[in-house]
Amino acid sequence: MQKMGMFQWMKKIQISLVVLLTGLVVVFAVLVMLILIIKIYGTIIHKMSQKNKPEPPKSNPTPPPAPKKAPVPAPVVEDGISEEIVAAIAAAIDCMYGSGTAQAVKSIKRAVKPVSRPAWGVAGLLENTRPF
Amino acid sequence: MNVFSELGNSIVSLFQTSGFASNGWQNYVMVCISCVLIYLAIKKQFEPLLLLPIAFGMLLVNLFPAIMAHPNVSYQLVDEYLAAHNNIVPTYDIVPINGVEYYQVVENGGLLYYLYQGVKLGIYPPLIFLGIGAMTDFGPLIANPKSFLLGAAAQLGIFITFIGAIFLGFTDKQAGAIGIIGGADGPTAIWLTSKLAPELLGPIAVAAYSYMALVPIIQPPIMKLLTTKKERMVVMEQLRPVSKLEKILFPIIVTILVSLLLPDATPLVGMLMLGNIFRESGVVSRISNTAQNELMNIITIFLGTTVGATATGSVFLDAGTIKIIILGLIAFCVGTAGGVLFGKLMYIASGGKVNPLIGSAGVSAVPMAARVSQKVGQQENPGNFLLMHAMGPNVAGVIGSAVAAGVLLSILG
Repeated sequence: MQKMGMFQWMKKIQISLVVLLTGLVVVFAVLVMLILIIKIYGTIIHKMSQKNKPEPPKSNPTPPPAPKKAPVPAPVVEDGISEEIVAAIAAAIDCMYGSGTAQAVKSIKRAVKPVSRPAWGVAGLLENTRPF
Repeated sequence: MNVFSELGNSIVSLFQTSGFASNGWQNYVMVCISCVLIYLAIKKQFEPLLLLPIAFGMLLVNLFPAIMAHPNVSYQLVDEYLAAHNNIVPTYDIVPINGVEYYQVVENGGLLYYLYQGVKLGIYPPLIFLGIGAMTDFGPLIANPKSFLLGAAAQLGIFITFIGAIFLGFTDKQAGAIGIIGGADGPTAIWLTSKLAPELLGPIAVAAYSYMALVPIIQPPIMKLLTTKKERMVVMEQLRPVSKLEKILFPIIVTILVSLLLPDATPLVGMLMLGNIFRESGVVSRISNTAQNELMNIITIFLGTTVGATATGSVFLDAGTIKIIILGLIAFCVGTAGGVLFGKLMYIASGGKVNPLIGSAGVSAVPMAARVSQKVGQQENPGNFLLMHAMGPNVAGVIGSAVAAGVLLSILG
């Protein structure tokens, strides 16, 4: 009877180790491969986008010299847009593009004239008439 | 006078067919348990989207067990049947067996039996993953692919729990199903359990969803125990912006790679990525909206109710259920510890750039675990916003737990 117990114990240890090792190794291996592939295509796309548009990142109003930043001219803002909205838009752009690149807001214009249909109305119209 | 005796007879037969006569004490205990779960879902808001249907399904099946009844086909001799039913000819087909004519008496299954087929056949969990993929933004993960390692490390809980379950006397298939609770992913747990150990579906589902709701309570002590104050104060640098093309390529590449390497994980990972590509492509917003909203809600209702309806007294009120509850807790704790320890490793390897607290978010309870990382980090340093950084390991954990489920299925299934 004791031999039977030992045998069962050994079987349990065996399957535990098999599952533990196989499981961890496979999960890590698959995810490491994913990491490599994502990094590879990330750099490929980054290089492609650098080749396509080398100009716009360089066309800042004033390129900042290393120790001292030259002042960036204020954005040209259409009448009727309050300063708070300009600040919010500038903050959102800064957040999206990161603090590394020196992007600046050049001008802000309304997309739709306020006297025509309200934006929500236009959105509802498009939603309902969109083709299948 | 005949009227009164007939009345007496009909009242007696009404009582005989009522639930009071046919239910045992286990049913009533389960009714009480389901009421407690309903209270937890509504008042304490423990994952109510799933716990409430589960609890109510449990209530229904213990009051009326036939709601989950199998459809039944039996054969009765024509003469006997007519004699028993006052010579009224029924609509059943007549089937000759060995020359003698029988009625093929078909009894339909219960309501929840038919809805349960979606769980039994593994249909609902992948559809929920479709909705989850349509709701998930993989941007933080693409920007910092090393988060995948944290998502992998947190799946340690699954395999350690498997070992614990084996030594507590469960069969290897049952142990695999119990282990997947550590993946902290409801649909994955239900999918794997329905394939490996369908008899344990009720207890495992209740354990999995209850612990997912307890993540904000379970994780912080472990996180604080395993990290130093200096490590917790690390502020990580901002993630790079991720382009649209990368976000569209991600689901395609993940699907191809994971399905080729581990075909058993394809139903889950494939549907997750299908939902994600609906979202990222931008050209199928109708489908993306439906997947995130209507489809998720419908499937959640069916899944929750029918999973709860598997929790009958005989299955739930068993010593095994207590073991499952304890093992589930171990699974979550070890998973959190595994993620945080790997986070510490990455902290050392990167020279202090990675905050180990985001490692605990590798446990794939999206977005709760990421929010816990954010909160604990903010307790140390109020200006530290770890949420986006923690979302990387969080969503990597979803993929990681689906891969781990595929591994368990291929070894044990």
